[in-house]
Amino acid sequence: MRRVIAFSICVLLGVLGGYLSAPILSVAVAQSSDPEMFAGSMLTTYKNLVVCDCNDRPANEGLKELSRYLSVLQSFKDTNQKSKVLAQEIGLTYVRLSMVERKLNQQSRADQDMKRGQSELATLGWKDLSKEHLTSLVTQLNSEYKQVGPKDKAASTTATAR
Amino acid sequence: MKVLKSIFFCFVCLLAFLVAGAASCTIRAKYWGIPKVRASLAYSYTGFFGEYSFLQYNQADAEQGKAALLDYLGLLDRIQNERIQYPRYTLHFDAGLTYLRLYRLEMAANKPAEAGEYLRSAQKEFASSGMRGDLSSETLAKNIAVREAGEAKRYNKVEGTTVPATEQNR
Repeated sequence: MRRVIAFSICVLLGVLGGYLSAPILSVAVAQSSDPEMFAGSMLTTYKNLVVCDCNDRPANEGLKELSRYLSVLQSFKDTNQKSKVLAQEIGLTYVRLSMVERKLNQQSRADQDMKRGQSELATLGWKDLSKEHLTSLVTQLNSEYKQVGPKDKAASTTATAR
Repeated sequence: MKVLKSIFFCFVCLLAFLVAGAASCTIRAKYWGIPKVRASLAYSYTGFFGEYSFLQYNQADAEQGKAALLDYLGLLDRIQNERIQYPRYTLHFDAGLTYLRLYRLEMAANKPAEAGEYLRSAQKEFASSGMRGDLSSETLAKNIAVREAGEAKRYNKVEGTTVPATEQNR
């Protein structure tokens, strides 16, 4: 009898352990079966935090966050050189950085980053690469991130943009 | 002998623990976890990709805009083909809207035959989404023109005036 109980407990513990570890397995399977979608999704989450918070955060912290986000984007770009999605995101992030640097009176760095952004976006066939237009566009895009809470943003940003 | 029996029993218990764990993990992952994770990743990724394709359409030249819109349609198709749990309305609505944008680009490029094809595809997608109301070619063409004018106002401010993306592509 004691052995039956011990055996049943082992089975139950196994079922419980498996049940609880299923989400981890699910993420691992999803990541390995579709790495592009996984990476894109992670970047979306990261972007939502950075862009949203940068609107309200002190400029110094915003600069740090944007620089970190940019280096993540560039590391993804190194492994996927042809990605236009990443190229666009890098271009817009340079513009965002430039805007924050201008706020911090780092004029030469701001100009440099704006030029980098412009050259990234030029490779994507963007027609209006003037500083004024890109600043206005990014301000508009940032404001759409600001309108909603961080949790709802992923879903609603594109809906607003589109 | 008794010691051997005990060791054997422990081994059986361990095996039962592992088999039960693997089985419950696989079943839960297959029927609950993986579909949910894939749906969440797809939802998030289409947002990211949708913004990219929209900005390419709105800001880049016609060729690049068209390529981005077709890539986005490819992604939506993939989500549909792989049967990822994704809101049906959103999927078809986004596809329909993308076809309408392609229609606008082809009209601006003076290719009415291709434009007409895209308009028909848009109608099909909107009908599949369950959308009710007037889905005639004229209404859809009018709606996308109005929508584009609004987008131009928001994203293409040129010295106080606005220029729709398709106008700029000309």
